[in-house]
Amino acid sequence: MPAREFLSEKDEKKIIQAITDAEEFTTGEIRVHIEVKCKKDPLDRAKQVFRELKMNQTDARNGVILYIAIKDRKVAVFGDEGISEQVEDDFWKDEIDKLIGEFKQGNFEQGIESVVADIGEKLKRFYPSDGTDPNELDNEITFEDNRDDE
Amino acid sequence: MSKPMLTRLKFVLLTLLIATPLLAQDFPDPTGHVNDFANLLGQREVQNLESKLRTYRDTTSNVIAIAIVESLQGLPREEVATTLFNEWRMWEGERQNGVLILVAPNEREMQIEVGYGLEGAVTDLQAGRIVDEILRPNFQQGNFYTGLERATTVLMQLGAGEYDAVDRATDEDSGNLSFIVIIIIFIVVYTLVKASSGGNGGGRRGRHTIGSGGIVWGGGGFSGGGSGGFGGGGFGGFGGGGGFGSGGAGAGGGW
Repeated sequence: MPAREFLSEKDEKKIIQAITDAEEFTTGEIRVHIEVKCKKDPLDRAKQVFRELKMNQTDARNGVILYIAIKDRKVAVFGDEGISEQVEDDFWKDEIDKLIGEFKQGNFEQGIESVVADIGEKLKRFYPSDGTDPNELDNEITFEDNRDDE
Repeated sequence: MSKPMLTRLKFVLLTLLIATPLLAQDFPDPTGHVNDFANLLGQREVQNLESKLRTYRDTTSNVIAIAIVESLQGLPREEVATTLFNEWRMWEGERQNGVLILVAPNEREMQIEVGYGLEGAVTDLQAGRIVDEILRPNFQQGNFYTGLERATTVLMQLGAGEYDAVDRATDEDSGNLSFIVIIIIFIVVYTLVKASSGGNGGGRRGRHTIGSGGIVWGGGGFSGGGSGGFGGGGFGGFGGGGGFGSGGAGAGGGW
């Protein structure tokens, strides 16, 4: 299955909407990256994608990536150093557990939406803005049909 | 007109003036978080919003209520919103940690009233932007549910910051604590190093030990102090050559 077909068009719209809402009133940025394979530790791969997408170039280092490898059924969430210093230590783990719980039941869209909302809460709290800041990063969901080795 | 009559009229007028804010009696009482007196939403949509807002209340004690009124009864929307907010008393007593979204579809007006207890989390500017960027554009297209759904989501996320303010303060305390622990470790290590090298007869050759102590201190700082040092770019060498210089954090797993 190509990465783009993981979500229906409707679900994709809902998730983009959730990301837009989460990014409202905060300078923080969220992206969801969906690809096919991941043979290594998903967190390592998430960090790699994070860098490839230049998400480490936000001013406050408050970008967050939600990484999903559909064929190998792996997920990871990675937050840049700014936001990671702010949230409690268990936050990322709790969120990934929640995501896995939903995914196991086949609730892909709901799982992503709910985790994105939680992250939005943190970003609004730690990086509030009056809503006039630019969206530093565009293309909130990225897809990649990677085949091997990555 | 007799004088007592005039006095009475004055009294009646005065009473009317004073009673004006109590006009809420003309508005129905709330039936839940979502009060669709204008039958604008579908039953399912009301249920969805209601359960979303009830869960939010249960977990945060913050209350977001929606009032969709058939008519503003000729009053300014700000006044109706304030009146309903005060009359409904759905928020926790003095804390007033609530938000009321007023929608008057027939007058095509809307208002977000933020209670005293949440003003820090949801500023007037933000409430205004939610109206301008979420409610109005959706309402103009007839998407009342979508507008309310999204507006409540954003309000909930904003409100979460306010509610967790206590937790946040605690977090900061523990942050300071770990800093103190690092200093204590440093002092202990420093003392040990000093003591061991001091075996040479207690000479005041402290300079050397300060040097090595300083390195230990540096190590403690990086391992205990979190990501700041790694992310700085200048200390790439300490990162263990991972290549990814960022000090971020995350979690991964499979399903």
